[in-house]
Amino acid sequence: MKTYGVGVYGLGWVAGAHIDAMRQNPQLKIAALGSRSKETAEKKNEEIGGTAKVAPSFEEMLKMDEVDIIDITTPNPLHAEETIAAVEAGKHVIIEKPICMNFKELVAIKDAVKKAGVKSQVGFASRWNPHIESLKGMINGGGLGDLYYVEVDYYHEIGPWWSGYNWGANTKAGGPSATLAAGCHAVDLLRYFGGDVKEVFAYGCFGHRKDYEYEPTYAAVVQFENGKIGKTGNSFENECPYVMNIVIHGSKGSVFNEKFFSKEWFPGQEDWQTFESEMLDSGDVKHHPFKGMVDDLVDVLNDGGECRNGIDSAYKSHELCLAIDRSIETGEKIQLPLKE
Amino acid sequence: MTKDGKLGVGVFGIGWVAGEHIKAYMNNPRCEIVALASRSRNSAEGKKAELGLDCDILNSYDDLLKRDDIDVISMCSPNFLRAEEIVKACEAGKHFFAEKPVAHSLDELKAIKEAHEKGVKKHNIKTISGFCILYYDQYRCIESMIEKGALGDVFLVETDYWHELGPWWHGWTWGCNTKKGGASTTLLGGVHAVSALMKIGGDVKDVYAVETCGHRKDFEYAPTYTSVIKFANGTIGKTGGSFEIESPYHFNIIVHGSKGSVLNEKFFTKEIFAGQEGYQDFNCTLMNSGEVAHHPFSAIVDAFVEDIENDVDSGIRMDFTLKVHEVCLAIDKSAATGEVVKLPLL
Repeated sequence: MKTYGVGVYGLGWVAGAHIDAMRQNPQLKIAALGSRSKETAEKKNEEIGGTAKVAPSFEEMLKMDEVDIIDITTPNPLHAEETIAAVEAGKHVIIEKPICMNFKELVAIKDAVKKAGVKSQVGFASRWNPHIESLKGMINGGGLGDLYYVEVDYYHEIGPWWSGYNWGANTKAGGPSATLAAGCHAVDLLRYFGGDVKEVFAYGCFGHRKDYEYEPTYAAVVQFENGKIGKTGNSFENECPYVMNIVIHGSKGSVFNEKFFSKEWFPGQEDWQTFESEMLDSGDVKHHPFKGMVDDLVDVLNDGGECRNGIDSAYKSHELCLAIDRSIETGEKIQLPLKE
Repeated sequence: MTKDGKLGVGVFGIGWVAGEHIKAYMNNPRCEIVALASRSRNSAEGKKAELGLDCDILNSYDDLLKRDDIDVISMCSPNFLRAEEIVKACEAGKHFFAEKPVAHSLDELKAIKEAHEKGVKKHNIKTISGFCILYYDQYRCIESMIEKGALGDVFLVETDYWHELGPWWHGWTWGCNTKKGGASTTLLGGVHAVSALMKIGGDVKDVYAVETCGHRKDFEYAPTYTSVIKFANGTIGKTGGSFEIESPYHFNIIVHGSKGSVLNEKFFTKEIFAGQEGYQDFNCTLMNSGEVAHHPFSAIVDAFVEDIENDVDSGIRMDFTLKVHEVCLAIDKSAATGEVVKLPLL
């Protein structure tokens, strides 16, 4: 059985969750760990049994033959540069979201990944959440018929307690926006269920928090390429527990979060029934289904094909995020694909 | 006034919703049903018999207006008759309960606005509109929470009216099939969602909407839409509607504020419940049925009667009603043109 060596660069909050997931796959070996802080890397290595090499720098990690895959979990603004360097060095990549801070970076990443011919997996782990897998299965199986309205919203109070706060919420210049920081999870699910988007219009607002440099709350309406419609929204300043709000209407049934109705599958159904699955109801990375994400990459490395969140799909999700930002900024509707 | 000193009530258009209006008046000891009138005399006779009323059956709306013992008119006829009915009622000095929608165009809204202003000035008429959502216990709870500061300053309001309509619906031929001069999804049903959106979020400044024909082929207008809203106070919202869902009725409401949130039947507010850790549930009549028999018509009528008797305007005022309809028309215009529509339109 082939094994693949992983070099994890950036050992913060989410890296730990990635590593836990990877250690559960017998075909993955944590070959290298790297961090801007050497102590952090050494400490992590100790935690996992001391079996990895501590890379003194990102560049050094890229030179290691035993590393087949680079897992990029550094602060967001570094992702693009590191991804491009990694794929140019011939490494497959796992890239935490968001992969870019602007359109120029997005295009550069895609071009580099395509040129290098390596596999890519982007950290939209929601796609492997059990509830989401049920939803996707229901959609694929015709339980909801043809979808004509898809809504996915990300409501998650984020504050200074978040380890990424300094570069994620406060630093607008060169930093992420609400979409890129986390709204992208909802944006990606919107596309996962509804397909590609051709046009978007959004409003943003500063609700009550004074500490954000970008609008932490937004609402966007979309027109899918197939003419159907949808909505995706976000807030980091709601004073309530995490919610990934999902509403789907199709020609044969509907879904409201944990409830569904489908006479196509349940001819005798009279009222809402409930999914019994772990829901997307926590923003804690320990809760995120990274196992599915890394296992998917291993399957692709074994058998070929593309990852569920390969660069082609991830590009479009990020593009939609940037389009939402552009719409908020300009007050205009934005058409996709973006040309510049 | 009737000879017993009660408010005399005339109901026009004896169809689906009229029965609920009538029952609400019957439940109010200050009211007496004096007369019914309908385009179909049979409907009126039938309802009279069904509810055991002791009242006259008149031949036309104008006949109701002519009666001195009728103080209050309930307008329950097809939508396309409404604007004219309202204008006439204002001129005749009758208080009225107008079913929604009250108009289908800006011209009709303008006509109503002018007639109403004159009616108030000349006859001190009181009016109320059929925005039943605003009288539901669940809505009242949300409103109370906001008033008491439980949600703090609201910065995001989302409302949707999702209700499958089909040929079984009483108003199908004039509500869904007659696009020309007729209703749209916003005016017919989305108006409920807009009423709640605006009661909570305030005046609307800008709207941008998209619409689609989901899967049904029998509507003459797009039966599904969604829109984003910019309120005059700088906060934002979203409101949508669909008549083609293949699932039970759902009135969707999400409110986020600086101190707490409401997500449909659930709420969270550490402002009021300092130890709250997870969502708590409302336990009251929820806004979860499209059946008129489920709607709080008694609450609306009782509030209306109090306004009339106490000479106040605390209910669903005409200026609010007109603004709600204006936003519906703006949503329709935005969806049709693909452009942002700025308000006010009037």
